[in-house]
Amino acid sequence: VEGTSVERGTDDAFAAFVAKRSAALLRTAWLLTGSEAAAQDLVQAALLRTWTRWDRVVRKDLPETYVRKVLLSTFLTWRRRRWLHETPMPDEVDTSAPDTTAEVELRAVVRTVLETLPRGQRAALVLRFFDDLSERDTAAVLGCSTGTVKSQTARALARLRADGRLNGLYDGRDERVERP
Amino acid sequence: MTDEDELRHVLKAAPPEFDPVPLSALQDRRYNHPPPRRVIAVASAAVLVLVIAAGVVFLSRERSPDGGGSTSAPPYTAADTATQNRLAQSAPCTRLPRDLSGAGAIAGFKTVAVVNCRIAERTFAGQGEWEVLVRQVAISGVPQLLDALVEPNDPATPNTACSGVGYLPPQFVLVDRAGNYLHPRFPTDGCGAPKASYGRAVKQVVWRDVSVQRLRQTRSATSVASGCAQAWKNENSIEDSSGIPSSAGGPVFGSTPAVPLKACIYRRAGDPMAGNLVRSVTLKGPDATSLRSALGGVGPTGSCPAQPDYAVVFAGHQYVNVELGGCWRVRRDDGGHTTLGTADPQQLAALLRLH
Repeated sequence: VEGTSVERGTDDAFAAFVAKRSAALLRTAWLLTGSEAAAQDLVQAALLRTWTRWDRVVRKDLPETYVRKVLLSTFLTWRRRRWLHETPMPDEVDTSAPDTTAEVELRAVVRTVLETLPRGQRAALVLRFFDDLSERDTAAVLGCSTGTVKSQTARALARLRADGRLNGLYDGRDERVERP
Repeated sequence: MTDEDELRHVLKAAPPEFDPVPLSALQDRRYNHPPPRRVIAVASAAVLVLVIAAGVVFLSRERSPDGGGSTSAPPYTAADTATQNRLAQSAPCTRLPRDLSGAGAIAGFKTVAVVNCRIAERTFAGQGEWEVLVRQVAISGVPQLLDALVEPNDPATPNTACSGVGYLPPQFVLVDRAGNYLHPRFPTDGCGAPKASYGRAVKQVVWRDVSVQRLRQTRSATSVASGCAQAWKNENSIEDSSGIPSSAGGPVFGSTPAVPLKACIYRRAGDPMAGNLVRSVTLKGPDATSLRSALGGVGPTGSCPAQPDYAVVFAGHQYVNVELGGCWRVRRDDGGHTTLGTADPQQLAALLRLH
């Protein structure tokens, strides 16, 4: 019987969608989860769930919207699992690499600060300011009212202002942020 | 943080760059994770009441749907062929059900037909290739399948490395005489994967096609007849050509012996990236040689806007991508390196019958 596992029932459209959008989804997921491994798990879960509705999603021409909804709903309902404490290491770690101190430091600060926010606020913030969704679209993804999005965003921004650690991280020159 | 734009920039700069996930990674990625947690089925009534009162859904999605314990499948009596065909037509063919029935529900269900819906591709003479929905009924192996389906789930095996493969639920439904149906779950082993006994039972089922319904055309008759792909991306427009070295010119497919060339001609329409097949031309002998030369101009100069019409010219498995307009850019392979050349518009138009 076809479709017992993903590899049997796959189709080209889904494969193309995964190839095209997975990197961007992983970046969103990283902001939500704060770790590459958890982001990969989250995106994998979202893509697998999207796959299970792929026919319907494609018929409505909504793969992007759907997978984003799934990603967020999975994130918001994800129970903390024991295995999240375990981070698989890549096979080769002893290799030279360019100096990415600034990026690493930025990531560390952003991750630490975002972790102080409740999941709902973090989700609203990421959708509004990373994915550039409108309040209405953010509400649609999160399945809540625009009022809730507004209040979640406002609370998140207030917390970030009070925290202060993100102040001055952006030097205004390009998307990449210099070391503070 | 007072500036939303500043926050926007910081958030966009922070995440690491990721490579796209190949589909195989979704299937094969391995985790050093213990197996999914099972919620302990026996919870104290007080805790349960509290949980319900708090409005919290506390049932893990990995929880065994049947709650454990062994059951046995009821005797299977197949409906007659006509009834099975009728039941197959009315069975739901959503590819993946939301609510799956566990062993208890299956054991209490009087199955008279097992209906499978599968998506397949079929070629119809002169009408191209289509994605079709095939409805099937099981004609053999059903009692063994039902026995396998009512097996309980194995308890989770602690501290075991489990595969990260995602399993989709069974695609078939069990149907009773009144047309009611169940989407069965599969019994799982300690890692949440389908039990081997279930896999064996499924493999032994013999299916008979009841109907084939066309869903959408995936390849036109032209594509099937010519062997050209139905859609192809204009590589000259989707990738930045600015860094590609210019070709010094000379016939394309330099070291390849004289073989017939097949030109698949595409036109971009709705999809901003991929064009649809318009027609194909096959050239042999002197015409093929002329086409190799016509595609062998030196690299373009100045800016080259992407063109809606383009062709992919094949010499066996090798191919070049040529735009039919603008700079007439040719993306070619010169000794293992991609270079950018140009085509001779007049010669190409004549050879490919562009007008």
